[in-house]
Amino acid sequence: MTSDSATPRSEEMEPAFLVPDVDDPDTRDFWLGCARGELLVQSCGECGRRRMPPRPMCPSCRSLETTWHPTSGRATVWSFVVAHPPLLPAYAAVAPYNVIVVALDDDPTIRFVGNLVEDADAPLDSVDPATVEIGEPVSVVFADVDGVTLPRWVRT
Amino acid sequence: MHAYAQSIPAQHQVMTNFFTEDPLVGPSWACADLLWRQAVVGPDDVDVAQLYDAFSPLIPLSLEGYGFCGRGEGAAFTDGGALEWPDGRLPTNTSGGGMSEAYVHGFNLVLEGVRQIRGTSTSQVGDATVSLVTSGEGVPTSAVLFVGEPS
Repeated sequence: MTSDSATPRSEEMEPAFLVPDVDDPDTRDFWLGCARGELLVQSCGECGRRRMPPRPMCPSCRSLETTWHPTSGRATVWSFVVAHPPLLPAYAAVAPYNVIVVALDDDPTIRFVGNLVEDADAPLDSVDPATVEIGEPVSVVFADVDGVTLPRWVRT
Repeated sequence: MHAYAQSIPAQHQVMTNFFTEDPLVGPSWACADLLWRQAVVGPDDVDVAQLYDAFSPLIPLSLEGYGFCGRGEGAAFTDGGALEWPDGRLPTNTSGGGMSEAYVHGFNLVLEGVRQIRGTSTSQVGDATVSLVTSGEGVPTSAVLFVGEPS
């Protein structure tokens, strides 16, 4: 955890938003679900226990059998932070913005990290971060970010 | 050195403990379980503590995790100068902590924990005989307990 924010290195910095590798064997099915407009959660193929983030082995029974199930996409804000610079340029341009952790209504032990936005295509700073409240109900929406479909959250 | 332990809880992911069943119960709890199991003393016997404080919330969370108070009670525990030297209930980070000492990943906390037992700290806590030193909450963590001879 070092901080080199004083060093001018913008020419080396990634100018765009950081998007995930959607072809990773553990997470590919999740991203394919997002592209279809479905928020999928991985479950153990043996004991059925849900887990997030996706991974090869069930932490409960150690099975390598995996299944994916759609969720309602409804959730509750569990916590949040407000991001301020220094940030990568694409993020600094929309700061301050919120980053929320939500707990799924289907299973509150399954949580996602994302952003609360006005609507699917709205920018990260479309919701005033001062208005975000722990406990408020939200629903998933899907945003196209540099060719990758990311889940984001709107107020319900 | 009386006891030492290192641990992570089930499902823990470094610095993203919100994927565990109870995100507000972190690695310190798992580490404390192993530490106190080895020890003939308990949290109530600790005279002085060096708690790794790379972020301020690590202090209340560590106080909870190592059993000085219950889950969610860490901030209230610090009220009334409880962590202050020399007369607090649990003088903590008596060599200054991360804001006042070089950041060498907690090694300086170990030195201070030993000084307290030897009676050589510049912020010596009375007749300290039980001295706790911890690594950071929120990541795979560790702790050591020094117990000295009563003077």
